[in-house]
Amino acid sequence: MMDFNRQRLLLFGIRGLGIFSFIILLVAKCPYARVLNSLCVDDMVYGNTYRDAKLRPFKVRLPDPVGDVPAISDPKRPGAHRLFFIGDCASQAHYGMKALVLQLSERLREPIYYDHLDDLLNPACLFQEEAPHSQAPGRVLVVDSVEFALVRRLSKSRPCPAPVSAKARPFESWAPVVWSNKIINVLFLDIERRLHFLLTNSKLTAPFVESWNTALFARFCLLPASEPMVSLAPPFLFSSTETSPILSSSFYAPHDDALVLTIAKNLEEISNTLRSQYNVELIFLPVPNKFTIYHRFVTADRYDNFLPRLDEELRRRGVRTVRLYEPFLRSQEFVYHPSDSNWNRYGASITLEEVVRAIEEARR
Amino acid sequence: MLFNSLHFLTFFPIVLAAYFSIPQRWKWLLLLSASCYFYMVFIPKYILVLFALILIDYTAGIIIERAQGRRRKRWLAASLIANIGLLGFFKYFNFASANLAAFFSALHCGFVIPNLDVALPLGLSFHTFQSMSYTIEVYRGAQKAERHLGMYALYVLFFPQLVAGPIERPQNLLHQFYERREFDYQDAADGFKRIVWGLFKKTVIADRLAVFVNEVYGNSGAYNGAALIVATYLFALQIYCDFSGYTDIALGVARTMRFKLGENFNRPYFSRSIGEFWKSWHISLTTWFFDYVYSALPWRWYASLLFVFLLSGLWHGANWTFVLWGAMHGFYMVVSILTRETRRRMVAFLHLDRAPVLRKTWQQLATFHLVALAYVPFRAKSLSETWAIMVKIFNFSDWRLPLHFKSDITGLWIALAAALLLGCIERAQRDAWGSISFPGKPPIRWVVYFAMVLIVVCLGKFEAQSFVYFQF
Repeated sequence: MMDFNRQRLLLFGIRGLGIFSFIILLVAKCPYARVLNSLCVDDMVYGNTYRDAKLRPFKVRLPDPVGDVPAISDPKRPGAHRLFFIGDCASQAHYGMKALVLQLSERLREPIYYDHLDDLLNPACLFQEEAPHSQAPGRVLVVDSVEFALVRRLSKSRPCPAPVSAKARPFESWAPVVWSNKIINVLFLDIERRLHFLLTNSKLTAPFVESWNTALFARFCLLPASEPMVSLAPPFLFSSTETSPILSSSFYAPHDDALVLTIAKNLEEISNTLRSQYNVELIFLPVPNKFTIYHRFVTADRYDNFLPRLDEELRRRGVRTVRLYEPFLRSQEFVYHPSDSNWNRYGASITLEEVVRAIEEARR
Repeated sequence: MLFNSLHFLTFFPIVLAAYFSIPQRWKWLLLLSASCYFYMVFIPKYILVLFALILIDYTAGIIIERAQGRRRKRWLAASLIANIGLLGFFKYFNFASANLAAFFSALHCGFVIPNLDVALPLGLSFHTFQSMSYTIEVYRGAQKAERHLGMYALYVLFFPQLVAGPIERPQNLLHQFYERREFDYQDAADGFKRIVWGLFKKTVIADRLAVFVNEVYGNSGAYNGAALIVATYLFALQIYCDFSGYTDIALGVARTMRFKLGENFNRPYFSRSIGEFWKSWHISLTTWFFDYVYSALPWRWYASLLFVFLLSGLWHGANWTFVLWGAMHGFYMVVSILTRETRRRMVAFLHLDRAPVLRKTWQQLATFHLVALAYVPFRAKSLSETWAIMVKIFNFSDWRLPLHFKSDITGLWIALAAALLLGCIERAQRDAWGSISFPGKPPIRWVVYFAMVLIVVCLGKFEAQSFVYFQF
């Protein structure tokens, strides 16, 4: 009798857990379900370290973004502009401030064509639809890339894809392929990340996750994998992308001279193409990682001067650059948010000044 | 889908609840759909490769059973060629082309085969070997050809053992899909215990040790011999906990649904010889090689033995480092058999037979060190790196352990304490985890079980880190 009851109880528990798990899976996967339940915001943009780590000592109230992210200009017609911005740091609206590209547009009083920097994109391809040598002078393209993505983006030469004729129909655009990709996406892809996001950010579970992570940190000094390094004074969280010893994007990844030369050579190629074929002056804006600037709060390990070395090499090859490393390092105020990997209002204002100066120099 | 992921934590209760809620006649379909889903979470399109493999061997099995005389052999050969061809194409094409290019370059010929830009389908080596064992067993007459395509597909795709084994024989697994299965408290409880034990090995020990091992082996040039020796010992622990942890979870998951899969490990690091080690490490692969390859080779035993171990090395990965690993184990085996009589005489001469504990400890330590040494090429990226690490390890000039590791030192201590606990439990354990209970009254047992769950939840590293053997 006892065994029979235990058996029924366990089976009942398993069935209940099954139904509960099914609901969780649906909620995690379906954006409509998430919105209807207002469990969490669909904000998975890189940067907010507290959102991932959920450690109470690092909880800082960040101001809301000011102004919307500007709509991307007509991607087919960049030629109508004189100033172009492709990047990942400048186009996002951050806490308490407008997106840098909007600030720049207001400051220079001219419209800016901007786009997100795709990993595979060669910035020169933006102009390939234009007729060569037919443009007005003074055109400038600013390309910004965060330091941890530099190797991934620029260590290989990226040729522009051949223009697709109107009649040619790529395989990827066939209806059955499109639909099977959609189904695959809904059913199989990205579930782990969504479940993790739901667990750490839903109103139901976030307080428990925060208490749990904080207790583990206090008792065992255990940190979440997404933020494996912290500094207590000042209370800074550092993302694994910038700090994990095994990632090629991190502070600890080897940046030897050959790598610096390869990246510089690829950028020089892009710069020469833009200058000779499209009359566009390239300004390269590498943005230091937060850990590059503030690693001294956490470790005695020394920076391998990747950005300054790259900058020297680019200048030697005649590529215009904006050097943020030294101004950020010299700054008396913090240039990054304590619990976010993006720059703060002060960091953005330093960048704005440096970019404006570089644009004016390029147009001179 | 990884066993140590949130996704599996939601997937498994859904499948389990559905499995015990639907009529028997639909259970195979549920398991098959769940297995397809499980596999497609990795790379969805590669399920087509598996379907092709299933169709080939399903058809081959039926034809082999019906055919007579030489035709049977021809169909078996066709099936094996198709399986090995598929494996060779995905796993060894780039390896072969790179080696051919190097060979022709040495001859000053500009012969280059372009590399294939394809990822290796997950666990391909495991399911091709499982498929091959089906056709071979049908050929040998030990297994009837399966007529139900769905059941055969489930035999290949059964999700607990789909991507990293154990490599099951059809005689053990296929008939289980036909048997009536009702919920059973004892099996479910044993299954859950084994899942927790596997998660303990994987998340508390293997993944925490991996941080240190990856750091040292990832920058082997920057670390001295002492650090590399420690990293090699830790890798031995890591790979055991990773793979046996996976197997424990696989067996536990199957057990909750009342399936019995074969054991893959039996305390291998307590082995007293290399031969004993191979009887207790990745048992399903070892027996596969000995039943289907070694027994079929017409050569002398030592040549066959060496060949089987080289093949086993190549099975693990398309890299000369794995071949070297296999060669080292083959060499150990041959030497241990050839010197058996000499060693027996030496034991008698030194009167070691009067101190059995000392003798046993010495044998276990020697075996473990030989196995650990062979892990250097297994873990290194290339032969040149293997050589450089070996030189550092055997260069006894620098024994200072660098204490400024960038990795998580707390995590390392947690892993070592957990590994000590694991060692004590395994030493005391006489049987597999799933079939034993802690001695003592129920309240004490439950306290131990809950403590284990708490340790896994508190100290486990849940980052959905892949299992080492998934790459094979």
